[in-house]
Amino acid sequence: MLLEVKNLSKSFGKVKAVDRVSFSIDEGDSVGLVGESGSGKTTLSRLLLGLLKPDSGGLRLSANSSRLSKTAQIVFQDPQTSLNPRIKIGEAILEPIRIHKTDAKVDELLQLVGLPADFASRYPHALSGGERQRVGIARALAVRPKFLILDEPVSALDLKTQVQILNLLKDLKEKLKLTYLFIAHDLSVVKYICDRILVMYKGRIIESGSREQIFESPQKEYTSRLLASVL
Amino acid sequence: MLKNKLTIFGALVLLLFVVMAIFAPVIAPYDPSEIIEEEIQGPSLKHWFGTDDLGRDLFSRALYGARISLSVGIVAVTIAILIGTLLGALSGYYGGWVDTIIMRFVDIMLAFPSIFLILTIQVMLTPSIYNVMIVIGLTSWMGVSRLVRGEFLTLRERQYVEAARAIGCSDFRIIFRHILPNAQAPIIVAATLGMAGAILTESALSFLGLGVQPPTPSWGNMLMDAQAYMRDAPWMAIIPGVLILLTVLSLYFVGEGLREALDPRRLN
Repeated sequence: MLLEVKNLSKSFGKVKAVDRVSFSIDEGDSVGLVGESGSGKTTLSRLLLGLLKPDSGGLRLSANSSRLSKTAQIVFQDPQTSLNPRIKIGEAILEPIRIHKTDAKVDELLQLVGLPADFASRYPHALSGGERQRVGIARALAVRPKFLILDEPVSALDLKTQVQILNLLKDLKEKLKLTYLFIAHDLSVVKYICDRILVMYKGRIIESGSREQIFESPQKEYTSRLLASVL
Repeated sequence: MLKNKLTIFGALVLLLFVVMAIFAPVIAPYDPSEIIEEEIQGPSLKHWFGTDDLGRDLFSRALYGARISLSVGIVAVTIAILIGTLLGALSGYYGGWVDTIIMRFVDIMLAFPSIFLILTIQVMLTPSIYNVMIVIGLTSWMGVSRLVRGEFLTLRERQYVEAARAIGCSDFRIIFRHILPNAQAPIIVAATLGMAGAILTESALSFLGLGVQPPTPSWGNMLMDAQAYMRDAPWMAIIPGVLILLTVLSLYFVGEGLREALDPRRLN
């Protein structure tokens, strides 16, 4: 088991953003986390990364390092804002390599995500949305993580680019034996890439199951409505 | 368009003054403290700006005065920017009790009328140009700290800051490498405007006899010397007055120009 979460809770004031959530992810899994905005998906992902401290409950990550940031990484939703406008692409990718002293190389990482090596000397504003998202993926992979949280990685992109990025993520998962937690509100995207799905509603995980179970025989009314809204 | 021209005008004036200040020993026709026994003469070919009550060449004194006034401005603003940026960054980045303590301290500093605070400190210390620089710097950083705090409050919520945290950057690195470079535009503008303020304060202090001490010339103490001769030798007051006015105005024009040029909405 790669990740085990037990009774994880986090409140902001009176709002229970994440409420006694428990689940586990095996190595090599590709798990979808779906729910409408405000359901607590983002808070949960920040708890998993250690960017937020839980009020109660805990998580265990079978780590290859004492530093969480070397095992679990994240690709953000909006490539417009997830890259620092004043830092060149190459430096942005080099930063995690330096911090964690990994043996990754900037040009290899760029190649891995399908970008030419000369992008290293460019600033983010000279790149398209899809290219920036590839840089975001390269930066996350720079520490050679086992576990990647994908926080709506394609929802800010146009349809054609969405398909390209999703295919890239599928390839990378194979090649690098990654484990994914794929956060989305769009079920069609999740259907394409995930084998297992968690449905989140008002801070709780109300249903979980294999892709087939969720799409063909949802147990909860909320899940059915969520499916109906896209299909 | 007019604004652009004013900015260029300001930049040229400042450049001219800086060059004159640097090369004062080469350009000045007389020693600024030398008494040439031709007191209170109006501007002429021999003495471009005239002479003062002790018979010193005012053009030479104005050149050397530029050195003092400009360096007071630069050093005082550097001190103010360093303190203001550091405290503002800590305040805005950490929030909570750190923010509360720093901002209450800012409120206390702002509650003193700054000119009286400066006067009090100057009376206690021996008046010297270095003390003037330090005291002005130590009493003018509050605006900068509020400005920087505001920038940090906005910028710390950006996703690239969260990304930096996710890859394991230290707070120090996030503050100085990721956030500060994105907050530099308003700091640069504040620096130009702050320099204008510092030069005015230096002039006021020297005018009151608590700043730069004679015989070292500064534009402020040249004004003070002129007081008694306003009717007989108006040029003694007009020349340093116009120099101060031109410098301060130019700094404001350049500051306004930078404010526009560095506006992120224009960059994108």
